[in-house]
Amino acid sequence: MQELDKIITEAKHAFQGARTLPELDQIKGQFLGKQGVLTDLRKGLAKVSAEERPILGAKFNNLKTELEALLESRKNEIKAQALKERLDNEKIDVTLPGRKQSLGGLHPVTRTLNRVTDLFSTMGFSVASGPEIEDDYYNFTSLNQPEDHPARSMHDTFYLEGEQQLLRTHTSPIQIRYMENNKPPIRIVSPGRVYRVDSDATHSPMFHQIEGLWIDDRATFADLKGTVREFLRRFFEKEDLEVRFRPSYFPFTEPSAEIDMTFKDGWLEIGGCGMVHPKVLNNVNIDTECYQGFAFGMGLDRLAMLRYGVTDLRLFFENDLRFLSQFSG
Amino acid sequence: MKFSENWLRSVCPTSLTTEELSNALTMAGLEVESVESVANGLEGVVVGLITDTRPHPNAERLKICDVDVGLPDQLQIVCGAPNASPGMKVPTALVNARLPNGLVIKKAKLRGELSQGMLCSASELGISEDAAGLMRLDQDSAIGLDIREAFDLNDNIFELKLTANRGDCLSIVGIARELQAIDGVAAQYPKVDELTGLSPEPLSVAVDDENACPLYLGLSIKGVNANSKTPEHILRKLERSGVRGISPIVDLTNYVMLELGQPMHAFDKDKLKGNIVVRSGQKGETLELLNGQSLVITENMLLITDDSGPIALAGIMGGASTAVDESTTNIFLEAAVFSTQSVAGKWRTLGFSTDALHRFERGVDSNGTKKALWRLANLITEICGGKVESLIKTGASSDKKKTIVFRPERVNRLIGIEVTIDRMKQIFELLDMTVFSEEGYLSVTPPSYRFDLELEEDLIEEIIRIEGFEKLPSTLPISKVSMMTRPEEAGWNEKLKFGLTRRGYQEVITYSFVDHSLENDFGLKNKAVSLLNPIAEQYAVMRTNLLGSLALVVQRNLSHRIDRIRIFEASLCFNRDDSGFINQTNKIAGIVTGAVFPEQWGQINREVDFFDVKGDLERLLNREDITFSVGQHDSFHPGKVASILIGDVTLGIVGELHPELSQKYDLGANVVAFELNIDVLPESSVPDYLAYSKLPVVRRDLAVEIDLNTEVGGILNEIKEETIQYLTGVTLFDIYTGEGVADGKKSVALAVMFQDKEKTLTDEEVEKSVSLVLELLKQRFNATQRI
Repeated sequence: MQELDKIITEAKHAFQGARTLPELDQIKGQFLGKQGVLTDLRKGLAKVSAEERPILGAKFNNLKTELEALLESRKNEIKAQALKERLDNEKIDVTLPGRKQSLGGLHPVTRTLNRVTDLFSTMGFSVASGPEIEDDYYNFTSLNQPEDHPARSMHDTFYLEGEQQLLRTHTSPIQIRYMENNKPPIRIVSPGRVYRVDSDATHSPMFHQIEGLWIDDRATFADLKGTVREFLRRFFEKEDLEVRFRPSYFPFTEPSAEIDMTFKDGWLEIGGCGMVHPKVLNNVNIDTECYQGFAFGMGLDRLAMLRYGVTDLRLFFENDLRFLSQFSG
Repeated sequence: MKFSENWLRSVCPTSLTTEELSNALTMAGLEVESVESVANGLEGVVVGLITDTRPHPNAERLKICDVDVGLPDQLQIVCGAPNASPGMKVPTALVNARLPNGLVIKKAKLRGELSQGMLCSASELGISEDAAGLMRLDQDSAIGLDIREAFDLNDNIFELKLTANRGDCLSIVGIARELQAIDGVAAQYPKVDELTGLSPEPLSVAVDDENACPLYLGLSIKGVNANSKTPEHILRKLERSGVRGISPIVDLTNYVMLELGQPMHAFDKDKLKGNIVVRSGQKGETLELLNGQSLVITENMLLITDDSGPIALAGIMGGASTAVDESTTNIFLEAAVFSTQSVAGKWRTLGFSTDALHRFERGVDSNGTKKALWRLANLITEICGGKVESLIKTGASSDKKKTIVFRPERVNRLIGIEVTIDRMKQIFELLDMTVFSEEGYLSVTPPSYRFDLELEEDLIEEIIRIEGFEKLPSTLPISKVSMMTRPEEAGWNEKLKFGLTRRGYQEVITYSFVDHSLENDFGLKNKAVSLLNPIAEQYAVMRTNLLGSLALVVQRNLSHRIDRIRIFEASLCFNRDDSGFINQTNKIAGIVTGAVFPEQWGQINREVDFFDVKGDLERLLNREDITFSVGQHDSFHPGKVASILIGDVTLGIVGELHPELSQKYDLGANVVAFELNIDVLPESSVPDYLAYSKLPVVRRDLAVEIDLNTEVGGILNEIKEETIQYLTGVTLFDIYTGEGVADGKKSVALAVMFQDKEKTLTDEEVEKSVSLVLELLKQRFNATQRI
């Protein structure tokens, strides 16, 4: 039976020699095929004695099983090897940059506007808008600035040719229009473009404002202070930011104040505010014995400059993509 | 308003430091914009006497001076000024002295000779521009006296940014009154002598409109010496208030205006012709003003006139013909009150403002006019001599007393702070108001100079202003909690902006006013609204659309060698319709040029074209009812422009810019732009679920040949709109012309999808539907199937 052991050894050797599945298939024939070694052996079984036959038969079967197992194992080895080789060949350079479109983005002022309106909406303010070409009534008279009012020269106004219309100098007309059409309680912010005849490093003839208005039966100046401080702390994400209110004058509020906030080593003016003037409330038929409220206004461009460290207002309107792309994404 | 701190302190001797004073004024609502030291850093410079000079042994142009500065030893100072000579008193900078230009003086050897300081010119001290030689000091100046004292340089110039309601603070006395209320120190106002027993004034004064000029006082002084010198201390105060010294009478008039807030004017009485009439201007009149300007008078100007015609622009500026000069001996002083309305806004038409106009525009108290006039008369007679002859008065001081009913409980209700009634009364009294306690309220009468106090709210502001806003608590408003209305679908403005940024577009913000010619090239013809007072020609009209502004942004960035640009802007645009009404429309527009993708390794790149941008819009709008049809717009390539329609309403336009415009604006070869009118877009609806079929979709690819000019969009729409059984969709996947396709024809390859909701389709069913599609195409478009 040494012969059987020899066959196993030879088969092992032969299977190992096969590199591909077709090769293995060929070699399989030498051992397990019709003309193969096993077939010869089986034929030889017929010649042995009846006593020996069962013993040899069993040996023969074992041999066959063993060869088949060897074959299967080799087959798996070859498959695994082939897969490994294929995958190795498919290797890519994962450090190459990905395929992409460029990133767009919102203008920093829009980005700021969105953030400001979002913050105020968490306090229940909704957003109102209005026309940019206004008439004298909405921009001035309704806001307690009748003609010849010296405060009109505070706003150097752009007028339109051939009519009594002008470019709004603030977003306050939106508040008047809103109050004409809505009853208290009122909580709105009104952002938008405004225009003044002014142009230098810190002034642009067009800029952006946001104003807030809160009218109900009990809103006080103390509430105004709290609301503005809350907003500025949230906007700048600085809990220790301090806010100072300085008496001032606006025709449409009384009392009026400028809003200063701590900045670097000192105070920086960031907006104006006050209790809505009774004449303004009368103009929109709100009874000042029952209702009162506050209003505030801030420059969105200013907020954006402070937030992003932009030092020249003009950058916002030059639209150099090297500047704007810093705000993309 | 600029003023000298020392001047204010001489009227109201507060013990506050400069910094405290500045802060106190600011926090009371008189915002201090700047505090500037007059000495400007000058330190350690004293009066020195040059006792001897001798030539420098090693330098021809230098001298060695011995200088007595009051110290035991004289100083040796090397000096290059040609006018240095013995006996002269000069400003001497000692060792370690500091000059306004920041220079610190050190002991030094100059060309081998010791120099223990520096002799100074006036410009080196910052006192005047004079840099020619050493400054010659008065011979009676005390040796060793600090120059800061000698020239009263220990002073600061305060600049106030006064609000329009506080015209009463446009004077030293006005500020002193405020300071008195803030600080509690009593102010000492200048003493005024009002003479009596004067002769009657031979001139008469008539006022046409007493609303425009409620009070006019005229005072005549005879025998003044117009060549007297204005005292140094007065010139200094004027200069520190930003007023130039001119001549003693003019200087004193300005001085009293700055001191008391009443603008006045001095006429040379001998140049007046006949009686004074205050009246409106008449067409055809002219007036030569003191500033040399020749003014064409209009009917809305208020004038001072005599028999010769206009002699002054009332409340604004005097005329040249009656001006005082060095030969003047008799003067007529005018102290009048001109109403706010008579001067308001005049600076705009005149193109300049004056100190007088500024004050009258904010209101001048007629109760102080007479006192101011006598103050001026006292000063003129004291300094220029002469004798007050006569005083004439037309009109009267206002005796209107506005008494305000003040309910103390309103303070807490409106601003949220408890203040005792006693404190409120105290504040009112500090501010010169008269207060009476009545049943349940206070009766408060503000002083006549406070034009701004009319309502209860005005008084509440006075209380918190003096009390200080910092005492007010910061609270958050209490209100009912309610949920906000928030549609699931954002508005189109938000949606489009966000969508564009996701597709690589960068938002820009440009001015809403543009150049005429830009508007002509890109805008709606003849519909633009012009500005009356643009800041510059390039911002003269309100834009009717955004295309021109965006083109300029492209131009600017291309010039910076940024050659791939995708930008958009959203804003209102303005156009006047035929009835003259100005429409204000929300628009959004974009412009694209350069390669489709940023430069990279793994992407086949090409220049952007019409279909890239159209595709962006189709994605962004994502609506079934949007269609594109051949468009017409002068700013676009006539063969590459489409109107965007929603139903039959025009939503916007997309196309390649006209090559001539691209060339004119240096925009490069292919620039694709679009613009949408956001206002016509209907609100987006939320998704509405429809049951879908799970059965297999059958696809059939069809190639048909049609005329080259047939619009493929029409074919696709037609197939979609026609009811053909089982048909669920059609996709265009190729267009081909060339070999195998007849001349004048093109081949269009379509993938048509069929599906049923209930059963799997048989071949016969599909073929039947396919033949219906082919039949449709044949009938409507003369299409033949290619096999």
